[in-house]
Amino acid sequence: MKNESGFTLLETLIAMAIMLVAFTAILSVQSASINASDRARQMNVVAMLAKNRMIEYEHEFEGKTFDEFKKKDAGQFKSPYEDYRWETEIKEIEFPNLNLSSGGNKEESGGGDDSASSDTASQMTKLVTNHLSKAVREATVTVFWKKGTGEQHFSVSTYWVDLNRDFQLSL
Amino acid sequence: MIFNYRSKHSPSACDRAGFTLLEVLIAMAILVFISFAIYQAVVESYKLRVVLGDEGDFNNAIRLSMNIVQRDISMIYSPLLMAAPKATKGSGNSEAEFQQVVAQDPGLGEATRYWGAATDSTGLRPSRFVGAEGKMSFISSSHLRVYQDAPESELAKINYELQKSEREEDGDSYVLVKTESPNVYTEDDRDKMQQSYPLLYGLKSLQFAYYRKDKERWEKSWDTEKDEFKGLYPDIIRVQFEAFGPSNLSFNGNFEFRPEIPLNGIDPST
Repeated sequence: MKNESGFTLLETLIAMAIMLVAFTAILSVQSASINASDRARQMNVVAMLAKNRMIEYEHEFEGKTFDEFKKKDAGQFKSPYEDYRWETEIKEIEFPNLNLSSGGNKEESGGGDDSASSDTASQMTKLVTNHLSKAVREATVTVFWKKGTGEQHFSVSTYWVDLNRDFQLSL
Repeated sequence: MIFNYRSKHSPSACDRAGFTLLEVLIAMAILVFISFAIYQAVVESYKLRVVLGDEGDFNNAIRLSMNIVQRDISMIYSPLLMAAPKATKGSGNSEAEFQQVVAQDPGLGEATRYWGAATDSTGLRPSRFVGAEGKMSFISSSHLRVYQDAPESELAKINYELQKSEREEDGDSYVLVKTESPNVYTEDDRDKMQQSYPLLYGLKSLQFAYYRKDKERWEKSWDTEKDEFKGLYPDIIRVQFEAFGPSNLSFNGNFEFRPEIPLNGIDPST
């Protein structure tokens, strides 16, 4: 008699668990797509704001030198985007050590007076690197916005070149 | 043994009765309930798919149209912007020369819809930038020459205008229309190369604004032929709009663009 009494509790539980897994899978796909569209909508606005801020930033910088320009700045976007805020920063960029006198480059430069020419070359590289690191700056605009309890951010960067900077012949 | 085994396990007549009617009904009710729930979920996800598709199209249209506007504005063309700063002010001699040239060709001294009056004896004209709240026209070097032998240059007359939408489904809304023609030196309205196409539908409102650096203010209109704007082009051009789309979509756009002024004649794009 016991065998014919229908499903056991265990069987029912397993069946329910399988159903639960299937349902959560369906629901999670739905909520993931809603989240993704939310994020896309957000990024749309954020990208627009970051681009605008970058254009204004470039505009503020125009005609100034790096020294007289604020290194860091922050502010709020105007209505209807008052939930977003921005930060800007200009950084010096660090150039990798472009030492020509090491390794295979020596052979390429060729010639008998190896040490003399590579010395001049490395001196030149130093000068150029020094000049570039002074004449080029990395400008970054970061947009922040609140999501839930935390804050998210998105950055865009560009490089500004000071074409009027004199090339210095001494380090 | 065998008999016993069978008698124990083969169901008796009473056991084989199956489900009662009530059980079947309850089971069917549960089944109907579950399948209805699944049906609902499927229908919802289809609706969601349509909404998301609409939203993607809507945002894509805005982005694409603004990219086109950006490209045109960033490549505003004018010899005035390209010229390197002059070392010395023009002498009286070239002024007289200029008067002579203008006397030969009176048209040079007059501004047309897209070009300003010639400024020096070479007869080179600066392009004219005219902007209003719902309208903007200028010469841009953004034209793409598709065919090698086409009699076109990179320059084009560009005209942006806000117009009432004629599409029925739009109701009472506006559309941003771009008109472009590579025939930059003709003023004929029947220009055959002129092409007009809609950039952005579903606009409730759209305003252009023009930033003037030396006065530090936003202007509502601009005309390089007016004395106060002579030889000046806007430093920033702003487009503000409210756009509406299907599935109750809406977007408040505020885009800013900058003409990329060549540095002493060096075009930054090259």
